[in-house]
Amino acid sequence: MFEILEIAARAGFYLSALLAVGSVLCLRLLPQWSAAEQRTLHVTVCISSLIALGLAAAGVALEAVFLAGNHWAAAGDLELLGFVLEGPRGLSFAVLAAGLCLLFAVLVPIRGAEIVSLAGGVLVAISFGLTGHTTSAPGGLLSVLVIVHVLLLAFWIGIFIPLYRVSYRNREITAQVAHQFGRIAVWTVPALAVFGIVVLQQLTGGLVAALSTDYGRLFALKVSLFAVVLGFAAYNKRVLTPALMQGESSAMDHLRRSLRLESGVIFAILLVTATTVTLTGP
Amino acid sequence: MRRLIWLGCVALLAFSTAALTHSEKRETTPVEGETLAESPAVIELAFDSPMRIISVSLTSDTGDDYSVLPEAGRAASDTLTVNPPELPKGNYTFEWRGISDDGHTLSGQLSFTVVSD
Repeated sequence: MFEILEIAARAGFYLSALLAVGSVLCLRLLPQWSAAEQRTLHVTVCISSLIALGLAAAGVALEAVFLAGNHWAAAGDLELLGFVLEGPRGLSFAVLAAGLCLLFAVLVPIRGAEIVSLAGGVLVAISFGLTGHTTSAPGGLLSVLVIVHVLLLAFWIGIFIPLYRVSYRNREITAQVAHQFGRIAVWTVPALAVFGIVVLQQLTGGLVAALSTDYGRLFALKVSLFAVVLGFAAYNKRVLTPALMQGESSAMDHLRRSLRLESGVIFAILLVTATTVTLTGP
Repeated sequence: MRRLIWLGCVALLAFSTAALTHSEKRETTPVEGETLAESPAVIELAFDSPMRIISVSLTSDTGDDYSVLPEAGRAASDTLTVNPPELPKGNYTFEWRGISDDGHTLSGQLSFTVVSD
């Protein structure tokens, strides 16, 4: 029961942090948004950042409770919380908190605020690469891969809500965004897959060896789910986007259904990742 | 073309592999599943890198809990040592929870049997 709570908190944290960073990336990299969509993205950034910060803090408290043998009083044990937050974990938490705070710069209408919010997104991604045995790789190689992996995934997740919303309002902008996103996804999606395989290879000493461990098997499940998402990405790029560009009447409905299914599978991937980290360690 | 070169460079990195792990339990006294003629004087686990042990427990298969404390307290150490009380005949599980030097929460357990009082 306790582990389910930990997995839920972790999955919620992943989703909210990635959504916050992804929404900033969407604002900066896809400039077609109307003023209304920009406001929605600003709200998404702020709410997701606050939820991510709260869930990250809850994760620290849950870790203390687990370490103390599932005694809830440990959530207030300052010495124990200090141990949880010392070393790489504390640095990661501090970088995460700083990054999430900088994301709020999307609300500031002055020059330079764009760079500050993007820097916040990069800091959040860096926080993911500061803990776990990915940090043990020579030269910080795996940490760099994890950071890039997080940024790519965040961008992908960030597009779902605004693209879904705009599909009800403006066919032309929907087609433009889908086309532009497709162009970026052509290299980001394979890159996500390659990075994932490299990290698995490094962490377990080999793809075949990985399948003999719980970590490897959960990772294989994640890769299988990712293959489903790749199918959606290919369908969106090859079939849906051309249909949208040509103004086919059914294309908007198909796009919304595809986005719903795709986001469901991506949430399942985040859930498997949270389960992997909670039960086997990253 | 640039995309392919870039992805190829990343893929090449996969060849320089080394399995990376957290702190791991290396040796234990008693060993896992060991049957002991009498109550162990000490339970000891050696890790391959320092662990900060936060909680330990020793329980029998009849549900009795025995109070045990790590000798090192909450300090980081390569070795976890506890001195259990005199244990009657039965099956026991020793469980530990701690933080590895890379900041991750880890846990593990060790089972053994005592065959005489």
